[in-house]
Amino acid sequence: MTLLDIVDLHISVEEREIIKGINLQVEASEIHAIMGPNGSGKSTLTNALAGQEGYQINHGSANLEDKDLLKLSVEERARAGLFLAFQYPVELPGVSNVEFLKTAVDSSRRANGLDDISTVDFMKELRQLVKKLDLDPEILKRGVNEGFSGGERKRNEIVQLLCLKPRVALLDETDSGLDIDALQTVARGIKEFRSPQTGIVLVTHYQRLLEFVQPDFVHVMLDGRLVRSGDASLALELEAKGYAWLQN
Amino acid sequence: MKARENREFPPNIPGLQIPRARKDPWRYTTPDPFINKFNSGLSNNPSTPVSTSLGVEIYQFIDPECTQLIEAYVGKVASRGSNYLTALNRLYAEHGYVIVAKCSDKGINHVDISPSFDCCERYLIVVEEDAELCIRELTNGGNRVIECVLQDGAKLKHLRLQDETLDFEFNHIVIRLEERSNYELIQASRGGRLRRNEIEVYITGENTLVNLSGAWGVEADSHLDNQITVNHLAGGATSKTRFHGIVHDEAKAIFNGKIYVAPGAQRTDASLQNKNIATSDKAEIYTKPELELYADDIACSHGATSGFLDPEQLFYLRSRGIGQSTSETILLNSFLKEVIDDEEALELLGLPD
Repeated sequence: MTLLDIVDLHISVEEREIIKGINLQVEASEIHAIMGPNGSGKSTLTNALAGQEGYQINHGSANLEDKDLLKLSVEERARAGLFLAFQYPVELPGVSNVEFLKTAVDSSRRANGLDDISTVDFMKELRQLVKKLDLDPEILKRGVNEGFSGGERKRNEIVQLLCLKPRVALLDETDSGLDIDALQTVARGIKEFRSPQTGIVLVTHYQRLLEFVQPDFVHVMLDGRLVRSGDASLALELEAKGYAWLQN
Repeated sequence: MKARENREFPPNIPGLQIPRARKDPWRYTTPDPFINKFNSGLSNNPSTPVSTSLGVEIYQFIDPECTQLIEAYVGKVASRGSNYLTALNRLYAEHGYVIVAKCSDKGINHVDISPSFDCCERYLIVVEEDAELCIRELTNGGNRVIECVLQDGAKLKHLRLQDETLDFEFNHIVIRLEERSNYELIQASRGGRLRRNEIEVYITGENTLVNLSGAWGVEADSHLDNQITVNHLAGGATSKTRFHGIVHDEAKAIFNGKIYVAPGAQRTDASLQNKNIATSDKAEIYTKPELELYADDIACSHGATSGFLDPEQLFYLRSRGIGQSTSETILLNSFLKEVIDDEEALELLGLPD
């Protein structure tokens, strides 16, 4: 079953074309890694798919299951089952993690015709997730990402991922800035999310995360195009040879 | 109180200039409606201070019991500000109350002050040595000047709730803090026709603590003006001033905040911050934080920001499935809750706990 289907997508930022025709199909249970040098368009792709303002779709389509993503608002995309783990998660001072996540879960449930989740069940699950991601339970009372270290922010993104249970996760450099222990913790969270019903797109610079989370496919993005696709061994080849050999 | 018949208007008050619009500190608020109200718009509709605490005594100014206190303090605590409107209040005040809080082993003293609507009135509050007092003050459309003396070791917690007003409202509070005393203001303001709050703090004793917090949400064509001065005349004191405001529609919010540190007031620790969010292109925000420092062994900071909601924060919330309008509400509510956590103040501002 195809969860995410991107066909010949072209995206511009301020009149400049950044994504120059991308095709990507993510089937249920698959993990796709997108690698590429800085400025190749990886974050542009994930941010535009999540619906951030400032990205102009010039051509192509992107469907999440049977829904045309590009016609949906940001929140409708999330409610339809798309999740973006931010490269730089923002702070929301004074908005407690609990309030934020409960509102998020209930917003999706309501949109899908369900009642709000019971606070007891929600808190029980959330406390377990926080523990799994090696975070201090006190963070639940604090503002979202307020005063968090870089590593805590990234782990908090995975807490949100596991709590919101989307169909497709776009993880934008979730491994950057993590020490080796935090990397393993995050990898554990990603593996927990993986299931026969979910799909994952991992954007990363490094092979390191892929040692812990084995991708089914590795794609190389250069100058807004996926120029090479292969299995996990492609990541090892990139680690050894860099990107220059693919430039032409 | 003095009679007010047969007097030239506005009266000439020796040593004080009649304030003019477009000149500091009246750059963005015209003083005329406040002044003219003394000529015609005042009514005899005073507030009533109420207390059931054993350590509180409440007198009217005409009561001979409080003559000494009035002579000692009224017009003297507030004299440093040289404020024409405050002097007018003294000339025209129909009602005056003295509140004395005594040190009591029966716990903290409480006083409720109801709104005065369009009356001109004066308060003197004396919190005696080591006494504690909580004031819950409502304001709505009146002209109220409060002079307040915190004697050594006294504590005053002042909750000021300002609901929407249809009138011209002027509030001036002047607080004098003696050694080890402690003043906390929590001010929540909604909009209205024209409201001006002047808050003047004089720290005259060491080891004092001042905490001023304010939040507002103003709508339609409301006009709210806050003028705050914290004067560190003695060293070794800490003051923290934090005001956050949301300005909707075509409303206007003004904030002038100043920290003054006198020569010799060493080891002063003072901060002043004002942040504003506009939700409309037509909203107007004028903010000016100031420092005037004459001592060198001090830690002082000030800052002000004005802007719209952060699009990155909005995108983050929406990317988790939370709708646009709920996301905006969450961000605006948390912005005010950063400075205020009092339940009643939050309720006035329409913020769920």
